[in-house]
Amino acid sequence: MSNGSDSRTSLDPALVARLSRIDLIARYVVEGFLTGHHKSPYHGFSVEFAEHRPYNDGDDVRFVDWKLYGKTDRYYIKQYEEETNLRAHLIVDASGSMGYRRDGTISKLRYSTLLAASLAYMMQGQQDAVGLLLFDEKIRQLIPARSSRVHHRRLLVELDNAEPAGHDTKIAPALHAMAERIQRRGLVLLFSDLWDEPEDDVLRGLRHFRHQRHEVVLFHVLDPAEEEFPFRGETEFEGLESGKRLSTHAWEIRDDYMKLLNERTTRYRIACGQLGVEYVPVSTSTPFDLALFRYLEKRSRLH
Amino acid sequence: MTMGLTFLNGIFGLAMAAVALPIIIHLLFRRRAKREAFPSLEFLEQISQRQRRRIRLRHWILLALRVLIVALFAAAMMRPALPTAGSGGAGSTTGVIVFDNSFSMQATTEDGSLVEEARNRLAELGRLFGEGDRVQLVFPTSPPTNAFDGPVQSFDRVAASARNASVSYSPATHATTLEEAMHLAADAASLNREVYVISDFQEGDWSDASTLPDVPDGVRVYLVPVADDGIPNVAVSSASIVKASVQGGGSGAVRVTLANYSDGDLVAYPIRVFADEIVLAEGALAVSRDDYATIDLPLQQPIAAGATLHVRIPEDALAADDVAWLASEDREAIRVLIVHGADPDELTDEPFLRLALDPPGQVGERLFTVDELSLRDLPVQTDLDYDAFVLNNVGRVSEGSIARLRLAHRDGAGIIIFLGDRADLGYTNSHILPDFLDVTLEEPVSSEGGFFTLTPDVTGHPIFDGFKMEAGDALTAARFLKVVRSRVGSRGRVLASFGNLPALVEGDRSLLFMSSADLRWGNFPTGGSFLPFVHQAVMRVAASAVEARRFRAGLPITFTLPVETVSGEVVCLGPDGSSLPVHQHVQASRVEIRTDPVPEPGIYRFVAAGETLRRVAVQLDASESRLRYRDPAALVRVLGDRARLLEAGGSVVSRVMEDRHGREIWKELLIAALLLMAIESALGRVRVA
Repeated sequence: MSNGSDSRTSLDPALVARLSRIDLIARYVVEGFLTGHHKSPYHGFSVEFAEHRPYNDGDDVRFVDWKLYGKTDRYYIKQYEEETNLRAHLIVDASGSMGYRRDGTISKLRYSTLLAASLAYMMQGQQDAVGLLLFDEKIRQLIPARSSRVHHRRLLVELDNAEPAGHDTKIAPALHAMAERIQRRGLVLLFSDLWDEPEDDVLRGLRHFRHQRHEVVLFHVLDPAEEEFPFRGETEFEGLESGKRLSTHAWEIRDDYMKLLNERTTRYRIACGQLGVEYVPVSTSTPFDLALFRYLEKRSRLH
Repeated sequence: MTMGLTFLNGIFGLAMAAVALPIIIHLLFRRRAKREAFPSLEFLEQISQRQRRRIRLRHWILLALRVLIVALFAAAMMRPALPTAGSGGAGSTTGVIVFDNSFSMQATTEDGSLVEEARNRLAELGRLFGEGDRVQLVFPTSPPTNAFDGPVQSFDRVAASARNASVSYSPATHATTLEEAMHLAADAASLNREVYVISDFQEGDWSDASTLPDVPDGVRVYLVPVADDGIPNVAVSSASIVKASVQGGGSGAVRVTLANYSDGDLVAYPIRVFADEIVLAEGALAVSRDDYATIDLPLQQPIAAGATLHVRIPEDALAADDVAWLASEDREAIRVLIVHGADPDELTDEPFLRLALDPPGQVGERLFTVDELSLRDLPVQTDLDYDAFVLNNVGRVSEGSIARLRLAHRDGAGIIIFLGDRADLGYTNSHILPDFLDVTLEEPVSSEGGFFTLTPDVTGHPIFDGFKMEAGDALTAARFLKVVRSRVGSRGRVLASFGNLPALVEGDRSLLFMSSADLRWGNFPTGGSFLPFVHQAVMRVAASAVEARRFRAGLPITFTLPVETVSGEVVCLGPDGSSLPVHQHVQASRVEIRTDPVPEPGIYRFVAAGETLRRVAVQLDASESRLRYRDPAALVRVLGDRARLLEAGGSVVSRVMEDRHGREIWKELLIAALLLMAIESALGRVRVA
């Protein structure tokens, strides 16, 4: 982590977004991320357990099988082999609200697609099959999971071309539809701002994945303006999805807004915890590596 | 009178336009409401539904507060004034300033003379008069003097007139002057009519508040004191040359009365009498605080004819009254008329009173000049210019004669009545005594072989001065064979008695002796005590008339001279040699001399054909010496709610402006604006829950 801060600076979303090609961005992000970490943080991700071998000096004690030690009173190291059959599904909310950005940051959709592309790039390197679902109030693009380079390229193109639709978000139908389509157990990565009601429908969609034993990671993507509500004075707000307008004295209602937002994120965090869904709140100002790291860290704890 | 709200700085009414600022800002703010895209209005709609009305209400309240704050600030800048009782309004002003230039204003304090302070206070008033205003300056002389023919617009002229005004030695006539000033103000065609009285408010001039006039409608009176406390003062209240008193002294004496208006008793206050610069007499006098005391200072040598004397005491805060002037001619005899009940051809049968008052063989100045006549001749006597009348054993006096005596008594002359066989007691009770004495005569009482003795009841009375006796001793060894029993009323004072019968009763400038100057009633007229008794009695009743004949600064000098002594035009020369107008009027055998009011104390010389006819000493009016402070606040209470006190050091301008325009309320408006600002600030910071 000695040069982590430099790498993080280089992974600032606003800076990264200036790169034009998404494949380069993904590569840049992932390699920058890996450069920042001397040891791969993603042990256990996309690799499967193979066999035990006796412990030798120099082996990482983290891989000692302590359960076996308890039974045999000897040290054994768990050996893994790469798992090439992991199927990951990137589900990206492309509704109108995801197109929101303020004061020079990148939009939530762009942030989500770049993050998804980075993850896809990382998975491609491990021969994983990656699929993509773009949705708003309905499914806009569905690409089944494959592991070929051509497929990956297409997937990146679709992510690069993703534009926010000026429609309401309907997360639950998309999740249910996706859950019905994916038969094989896999990893589901959902990127959304969760501006959808009712929350229970969203959670039911997530439960649907869990019911089919998918591992689910929910990236709750918000713009800093949504998180901090920095508006002052008389403000006329225009809903990106509904197109409705509402005038109010922004600073007067900030406290109430923040309270409602915290309540919602808290409800999602608790509900996700209960469902076994990894809930990762990210801001579009958060460097990608942090998002990746937090995800991988959590993911590693699952295995 | 206009009773609306008035604004002293109306020009700042333009600032009222600033109330539009908050509204404009509000409108601009609304118009410039920032439009912001937002992902979802879900939360905002939830919140707004709850709070939008309250937020809007709060904002209207804030807007109203801001408008009000600006309005209050603008209004405060305009200096609004609430009308008060008697307030005038924004219009022209006529001010009449009574400037006290009486000689008490010459008194000095550590801060300087009072008259200088008065000029300073007058200068302060200058700020109250602007363009279109008029001012008159009045001096409280007798009669009041206006500085200008009519009110003037230039206050500089007023200030200059006050600066050049000389001190008046005539007694101040504040009540009259105030009335005159009020009339001047009331007649002015101005919205604000104001009278200012700048004075030391000494007790001597202002003691009788009952003489103060009522303040006319529409006129406001301001009392402007130049001192806030009294000033201790000792004054020569009066001085006169007296003939050798009963107790002796061959060269005569000077009688000096001191008035003590200082803070304590005077134990031995030094007095000196000078003839030119030679000390002719000196002594010391004890005077209690707030009292008078008199002393006769025997002269060490006779007064030379034509000499000028002056009495001097140590100089104090008011130097002018520490000296009194005397002329040798002032030893004018007391003029006495003896009216006998006897017929004209029998007057020589009753000579004792005349002999006592005008003894034959007198050397030098006479104390009395005595005329006598029969009661029968009294109605035809044209000149009753006497200091005292002695009615000796008179019977029935005609109504006309009684009326003339009553008139002379009212003008200051004294009356002494000796009884006798001719006296008709009933007639005297009904026709003579009611005008002079509260006594009822009952009947003559004879001694039945014995005699009555005259014993003083009030031994300290001035009439018994010089008689050497102890308490209870008889005044004289004389034997009284016949007296008159009498009943003395509450207004009579028994000074001496015959046993248990009143013998000498005193009234107002009147004495009644219950026996007679007739030898058939006793041997008193031939006894040694008769002369001093008659002298003291006459001097007692004539004192007021003699005092009235003394001349005071500020008043005219009037006297008569025998027509044969006046040849040509009489000229009056004042102390500084300047001449004073003289009016001559021949009346029978005498020439009446009358001057204009004399401007200052000192010796005045009357000259005709190069010859000095008479010299007259003019004194100050003692009332001006009383420098005790008459609290003007008490006078304000007497004058009523249209009178105000403008204390020294107070804000004269704001007080008067308040009366003109009402009470200024800019401070209250400012406080209200600040309070509203605090409320606005608090309300603006609190979020609507």
